[in-house]
Amino acid sequence: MGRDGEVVFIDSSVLISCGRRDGTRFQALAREAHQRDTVFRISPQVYAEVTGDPALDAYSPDQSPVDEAVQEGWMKVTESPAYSDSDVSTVMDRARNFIANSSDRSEDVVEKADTEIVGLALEILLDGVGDRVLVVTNDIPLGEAAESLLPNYGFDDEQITWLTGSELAPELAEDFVPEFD
Amino acid sequence: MATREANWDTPLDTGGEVFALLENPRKAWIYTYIDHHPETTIQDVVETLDLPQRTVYEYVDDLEAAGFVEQSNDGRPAEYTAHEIDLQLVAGDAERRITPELVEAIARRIRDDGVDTYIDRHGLDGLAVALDYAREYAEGSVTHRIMAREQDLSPLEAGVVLDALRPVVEA
Repeated sequence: MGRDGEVVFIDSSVLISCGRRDGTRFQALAREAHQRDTVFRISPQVYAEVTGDPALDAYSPDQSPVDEAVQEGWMKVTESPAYSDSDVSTVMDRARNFIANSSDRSEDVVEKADTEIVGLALEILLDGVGDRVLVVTNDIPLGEAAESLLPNYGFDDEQITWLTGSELAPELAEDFVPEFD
Repeated sequence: MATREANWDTPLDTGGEVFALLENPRKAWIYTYIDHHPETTIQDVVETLDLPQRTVYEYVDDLEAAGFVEQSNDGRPAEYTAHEIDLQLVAGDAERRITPELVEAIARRIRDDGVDTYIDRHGLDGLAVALDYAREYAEGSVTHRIMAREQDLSPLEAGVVLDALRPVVEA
């Protein structure tokens, strides 16, 4: 739990982007966690995406920065959202529908688990664990779903913020190959 | 601007004159650099891209012969400016456009292991498809998980290529 009761969830889209650079972006994330005096949270699905993928060997053979971050104590894997809580379950269904609409696709191509981060964010607010939630994702439909749906459960807009990775930490925006510009 | 149509079994993973540009990342990089920096000289390219002078001379000649770049001044040193590339390839139901963005995506494999690995695994055709998703991603009308499901990739792989191609489509 961070300053002012702020809880930060990081999505795999951001972790994947950070993992493509030689450690510097994870250092930037670590600094950001320390500055905010918080431990970044990642959902079980996010953890599985960034650590349990056979393709990982091809793309990132010699490191597991997420496991390192967990060992260092500035990132932790949460439990799955409480599907049995009707509010949590409903917001995840709504998020699924929202993402399908945003991307002009049928709901079949979005899974409920894709919206774990939205369910977990609502849980934090409902349980009073935190009074502000940051959802950090580069997937625009997911970020928009969090920002637009969570206030419907009795919270102010200010209590829910969606940031992209580079909005969270400017170092994450640095282009990899500047000679192209 | 050249627009052509052709028929091949696998639209982009094919030989042929135009494909010299697509199959040679350093040549693709030189085209991309000239495209981003009009009126550039051979020396600029050599110094910025850190390529051997002979290679740059040879590749710029090739690009000029193919009509992808032209000398834009009369004096010396020669200055080069890129032509817009827009080639339409049709093969059965598949259509592929060869654009400066696709050339830049190929060029990035030199410096970006993610792009390099993706092309090794999915070919230039796969890269062209990923570029379409990257445009959608930048517009906010797709997520990396949706791309993964539709293209039968892991979420990690979709995330890698979308992140890698973001600067190409956002430029």
